[in-house]
Amino acid sequence: MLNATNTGLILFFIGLYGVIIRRNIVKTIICISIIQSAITLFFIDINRGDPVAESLMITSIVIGTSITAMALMIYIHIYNSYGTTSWWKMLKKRKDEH
Amino acid sequence: MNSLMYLVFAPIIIGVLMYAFKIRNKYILIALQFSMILAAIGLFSEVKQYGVVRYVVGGWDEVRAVGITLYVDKLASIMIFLTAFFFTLFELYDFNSLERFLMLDLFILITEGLVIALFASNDLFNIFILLEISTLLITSLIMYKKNFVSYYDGLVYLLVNIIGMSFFLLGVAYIYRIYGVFDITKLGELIVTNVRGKEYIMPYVLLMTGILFKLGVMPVFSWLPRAHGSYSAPTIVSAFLSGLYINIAFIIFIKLQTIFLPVIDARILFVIIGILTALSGAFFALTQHDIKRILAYSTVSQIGLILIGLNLDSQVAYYGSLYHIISHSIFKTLLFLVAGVLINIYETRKIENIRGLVDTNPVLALSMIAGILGITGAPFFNGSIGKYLIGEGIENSTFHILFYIINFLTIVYLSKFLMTIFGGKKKVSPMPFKIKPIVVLAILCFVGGIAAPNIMNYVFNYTPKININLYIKNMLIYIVMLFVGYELYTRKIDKIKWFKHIRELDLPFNYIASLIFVLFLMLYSYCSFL
Repeated sequence: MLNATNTGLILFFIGLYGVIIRRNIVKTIICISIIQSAITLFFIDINRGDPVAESLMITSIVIGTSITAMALMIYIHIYNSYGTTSWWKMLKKRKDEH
Repeated sequence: MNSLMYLVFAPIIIGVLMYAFKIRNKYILIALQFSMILAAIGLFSEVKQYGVVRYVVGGWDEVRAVGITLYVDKLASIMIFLTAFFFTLFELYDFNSLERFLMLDLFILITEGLVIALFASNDLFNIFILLEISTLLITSLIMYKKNFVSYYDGLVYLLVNIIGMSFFLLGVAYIYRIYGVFDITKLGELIVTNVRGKEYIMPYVLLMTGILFKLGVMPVFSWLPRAHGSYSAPTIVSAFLSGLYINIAFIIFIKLQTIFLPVIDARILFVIIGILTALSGAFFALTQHDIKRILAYSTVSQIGLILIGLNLDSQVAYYGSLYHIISHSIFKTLLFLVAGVLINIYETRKIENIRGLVDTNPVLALSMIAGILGITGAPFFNGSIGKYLIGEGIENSTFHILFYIINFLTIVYLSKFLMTIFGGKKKVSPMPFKIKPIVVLAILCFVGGIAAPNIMNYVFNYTPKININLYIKNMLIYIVMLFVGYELYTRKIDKIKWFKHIRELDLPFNYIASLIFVLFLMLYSYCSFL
């Protein structure tokens, strides 16, 4: 049945799949945002209109946003120094430097 | 205001005020830290008197059990005391160095408040939020010197931790869905009374995945040495991460195990994970040359050891592990602070290039020896008590042999540190760090060994029965292992060629992320077959 709870769970695993399979750093950050949205969806569907769950999820969303911002900021620094968006190529360049 | 609220909010408020008004005064910081030590002692005596101290922030209804609750038992209060005490030592150790700026002071003070709040937190959502904020802060602390190598480490640390904690948050959501509470104590009551099928398995597995990830156990430990031995973290940050921050995960692990144990008993799996973690951490430490990396992998190995003791189904081993958590904080902080001084004097992180410490600074050399004796479990030092008690709880003889192998590997990789003491010439260089905090910790290593039964009796109300014959037998085994390990290290192990490949082994991000999922599947399949 396609209700908000199940959609949340499916989205969680879609995000996890993306994190495991995708080698692009930006896509990894997007997938983590998907995971966070999935949990938010799952949480607020527990009790419809429950103020506790909703207020907690607002906190969680704020933290998720700051995490995304910080990850993107670090990503820009890494991109400027290594010139690649791929985790694997970056690892190879790091090994060559040492 | 009670002392708990003071401990949480004083460092944060004073840190923000000092940053806002651009004040950088050593005496304000030291006075703040000493007042916190006093508050922590007050809190400890309160806990000693009443058993537990419980405080609901914001006056939420306790029956509903969804508000922010702080709950301090004996273990948490001793951890809070250690936090206040270690941060005082950190301030004394490293106030005048070039690494310190206003920003670092702010971050360190906020982290201190967060860590104390984490030790006291008793509701799952609050634990999640505080762990996320501390992850953000620690990411910026481990990239502090803006070395490009460490940007990669920082990004991996941040993203991997967020994925691990997502599992935890989904577990919290499941708990709220099934039981409608966040408070751990209340949850414990509800789990025992409302057993409806096996619906508690899924939240348990999700929460445990998050916490075991934070502990850095066997399949998912590869982020931990990178963060704890980062190239651009100030020394005190590395010492804080390995000495204190890891204890938070242990406290939460113990709380969760306590409430879920009546319905679900996965302790055998945790013992196996602990053995694998201890062995692999020690083995990786053996292959490293980098002084901070050796210590970081040694943390992994000790985590495995503590995890074994916590899950052995034996009271002796349980209290031994609790004592070993405290001992580990002391000697690991000591060794990291010593490593910081060494890196500063010799201007290298390669342990082969550090020689002749006893001529350079005899006090430092002696303190380092005390730390090494502590961590390897030498008789009369604090590490020996925890290891002895954990070893006593083991009944299976195969386990016993594995336990001795773990201890033996610890001695072998710490032989690298013993090699730095002699040989080489005296080296003089300006030192921004103070040695006194290191000496204090070295003395504590010794006192923690000598006065262990008294300390355990005072703190945990549990007196360990130390069998003198067995202790002497362990002592003889230790001395034999020390000689064999040292000889083996100097003659053989240093020259093995394929260690180079293991040293350079670096898991890509995708593998680390998939290993979290593997851990989750492993726990889930084990718990559903129980």
